[in-house]
Amino acid sequence: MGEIIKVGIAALDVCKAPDSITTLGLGSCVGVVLYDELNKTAGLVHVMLPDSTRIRENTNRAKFADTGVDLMIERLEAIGIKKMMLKAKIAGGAKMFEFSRPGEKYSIGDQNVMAVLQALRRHRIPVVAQDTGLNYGRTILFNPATYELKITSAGKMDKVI
Amino acid sequence: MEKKSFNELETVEKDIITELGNIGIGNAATSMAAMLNSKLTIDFTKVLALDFDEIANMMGGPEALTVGVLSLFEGDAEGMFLFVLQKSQADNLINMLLKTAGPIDFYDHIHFSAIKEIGNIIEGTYLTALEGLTGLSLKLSPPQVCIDMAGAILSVPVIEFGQTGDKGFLVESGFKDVEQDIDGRLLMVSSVDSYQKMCNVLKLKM
Repeated sequence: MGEIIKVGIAALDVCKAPDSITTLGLGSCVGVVLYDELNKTAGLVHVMLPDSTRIRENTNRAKFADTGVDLMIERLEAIGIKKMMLKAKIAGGAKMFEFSRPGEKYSIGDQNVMAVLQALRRHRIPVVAQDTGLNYGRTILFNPATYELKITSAGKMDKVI
Repeated sequence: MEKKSFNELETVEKDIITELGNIGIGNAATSMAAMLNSKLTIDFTKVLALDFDEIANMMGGPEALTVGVLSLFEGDAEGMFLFVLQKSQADNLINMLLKTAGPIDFYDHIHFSAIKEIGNIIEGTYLTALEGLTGLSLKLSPPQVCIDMAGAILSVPVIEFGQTGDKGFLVESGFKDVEQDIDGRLLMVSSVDSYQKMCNVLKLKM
């Protein structure tokens, strides 16, 4: 077994088998895994907000779904991975508390998921699997050797997508 | 209108907010001690600027099982309160209120009501103190309870201030009951505009 690389909130990293990559306690944030099966290489970005254009302080590109996906692709390309080889698995985007702000049709979790899917569509990256929404937190661990994304939640059985 | 960044708050404003938090949590601890008949004391109040990961780690790691009670407030100022503590300590609090004992594996509706009520008392008393001191009119939403990983619960306030910068600015108060092993946190998160409104009323009186 290789090392486990930890990705923080509004951050990203890449890994190559036998290493694996994880992010802990996703709530309404979304973890986006982009992977290349042939090269057994993956990148994980932990995005927090849907849209960088709606916010003034948007220099941290990994924080937003739109720029986070762009940056993740750039990072993978920088280590020789081709965009057309990439596939995606995503998890997170929960609604932790049942409250909504006036004028908000979708929860922040739903908005994050929709924005991630839109960014992936823009780059023509297929989404192979997703485990999103509902009302609980998720820890995710991706193994680039098997392309498995393991999802751990409090008080629930582990899930592999 | 775009939201202001927390760097725009003056030092004196941060001091005023800390003091407001101190008085708020003081009142909250007193009413909770009376309700639970316990020796609950205030540990600290501080105004913090933290990285997102530091916030996710504040309850003993992003995966630590945590109970959170969240209420939103609105009116002349807006923001949220999040009362958080480790699950085992929430069990202790519920046991104190219900006069029961031992760990609670599954919360039934009575346990949920109990922790909701405790959160409501703390957040409600804090808010009333804030209103009294600042003269602002504020309304508190009904509390919502969540039991989950700390990272997932704390991502709710983190996303609130993620909209204004890369550091979270929050008013954190801690309170303790050593005998009963309780070490809870109350976080207040508000917008810079709202913090400034709270301060302005007091600055005029100085």
